Formats: sequence, structure tokens, C-alpha cells
Amino acid sequence: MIKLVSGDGAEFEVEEEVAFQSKIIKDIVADADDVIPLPTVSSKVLIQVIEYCRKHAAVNSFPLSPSSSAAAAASSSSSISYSKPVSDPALRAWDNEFVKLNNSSLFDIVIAANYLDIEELVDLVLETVADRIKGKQAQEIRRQFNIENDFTPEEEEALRRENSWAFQNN
Amino acid sequence: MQAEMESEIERLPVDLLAHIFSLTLSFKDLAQASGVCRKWRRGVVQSLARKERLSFAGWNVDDESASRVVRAAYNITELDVSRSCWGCQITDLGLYKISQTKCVGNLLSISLWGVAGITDKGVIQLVSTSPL
Repeated sequence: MIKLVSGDGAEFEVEEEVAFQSKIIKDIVADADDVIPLPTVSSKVLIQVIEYCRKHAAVNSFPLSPSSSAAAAASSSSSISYSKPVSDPALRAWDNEFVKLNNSSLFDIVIAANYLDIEELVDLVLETVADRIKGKQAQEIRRQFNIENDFTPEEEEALRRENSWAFQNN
Repeated sequence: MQAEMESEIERLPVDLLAHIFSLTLSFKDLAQASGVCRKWRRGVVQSLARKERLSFAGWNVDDESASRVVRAAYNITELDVSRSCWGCQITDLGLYKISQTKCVGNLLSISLWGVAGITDKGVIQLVSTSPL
């Protein structure tokens, strides 16, 4: 078992294969006493990340059945949304439920996942954020994410000219 | 979804923003995203550098815009500027500008299907600078 300690001092004991979903932890554990402090990750976020890792470790530890490996072959040739396609449909459905969170929680998770180097979780969350941007206008995006427009009117005009071609496709 | 008190997305470093933009967003989405704020604009430019393929097929792109995008997408190995919409305005000048970009030495494939505004001269210029 590996003990993870969050920034606010909470301790979580997890199995190796769960913790090793994080490449960073896998690297650290080779020469540590199995207590890993994660000072920048809060317990709230760590609980969510462990939940994800536990689910994925469980699914990944079983060999694919013939039908799901056929699905994997099909999705790896057609799917462009994941850099490494999540092939199991049930796991994919679970992932979709997992990211039904507000933006703030998603950002907490992706920052932690990026720090822990859990590539599939980073992809999953950023894919979700990308879906919330798709098809929206700059003004809508600013409102949705509460972003201040720091362009000067001249810069905005130049951008409008530069980008006008992208609004005329058929 | 509740309104956020402060700009939470500001917490994301620009490379994670670039990662978002590299995920299946169209040129239209990228154009909107680059108009959000300066940091997003940097993220969009950075996201182009992550691309391995670039296709302007179906987009009404001109010489200036195409070469600007190709310049930022310096890691591509495949470029498609074939015309699939009327009025697509790529000319020899565009090919010349593309031939001056950093990626041209890595290109393994360029598609120019149906581009009426170019001549042999432009194509030779482009091909002579790439390993094709």
C-alpha cells in the first residue's frame, strides 16, 4: 500500500496499481518509503483523483474481452477526441459521469492530474472544457469563464481582420 | 452551472490552454478563442504548434491567413490547401510564403487539389524547399 498525503494533511492509503496511474508517483516510489506528500493537492481534489485512478486501475487490470478489443480497434482508428482512446464503453460512460462538474472543480482536477502526470485524466477534463467552448463566441466565452477582455480596440480590430476568413466557411 | 466569482480559468497555465485548443476545435472556434484575451491568443498560437496535420479544405482562406497559420503550425508533416469551396484564394504568393515557413522541411504531403489560382512556378518554389 502507498500512503498519499494531501496539502491539508489528510492521509489516503491506496493500492500500488491505483497510485501508479500517476506516472510521477510510479517514478517516486522506486526509492521512497511509500509515504508521498502532495502539498499542492487538497484532500477534496485528491479524493476525486483517487476515485478516478481506482476505477481506471480496476478496468485496466482485466484483459479486454474479444468484443471490447474489437471496439478498441474501431475506436482507435476513428476517434480523435482522446490521444489514447478509452476503449471500454462502460468506462467511457463512467468518465462522462465523472466530469459532470462545474468549471472550478474541473480546473482543480486537471491541475492536480497534470502535476501527477495522469495523462488520460488530463485529456478527459480538457476534452470536457473544449466541449464547453465549442461553437461559442468570444464574448460568450468571456462571460462563461469570467475573463476580462485585455485587448485594446485597435488589437481587436486587427484580430477581426486576421480571423475574418474563419467565419466564412461553408 | 453557477456563476464563478473570479476567473477560475486563469489558474490554468498556458500550455494546458493550448492543449484544450488542440482538441478538435475548428478554425472558427480557434478564431473566437483567440479573441477572448491575450493569454488565450497565446494559447491558440501555441496549440497550432502541437498539430501534425493542417487542412484548409472547405475554408475560405487567403494567402496571408494560410501562411500565418502554417507559420505557427511548425510541426506539421501534412498540409492540405485543396480547394473545396468557391473563392478560395490561394495563389503563387501564398505558396511562396508557405515555402518560407519553418515546417516546410518536414512536410511529407501537400495537397493542392483544385487550387486554380496557382501556376507551376509557385508549386516548384514550394517543392524545391521541401524534401518531397
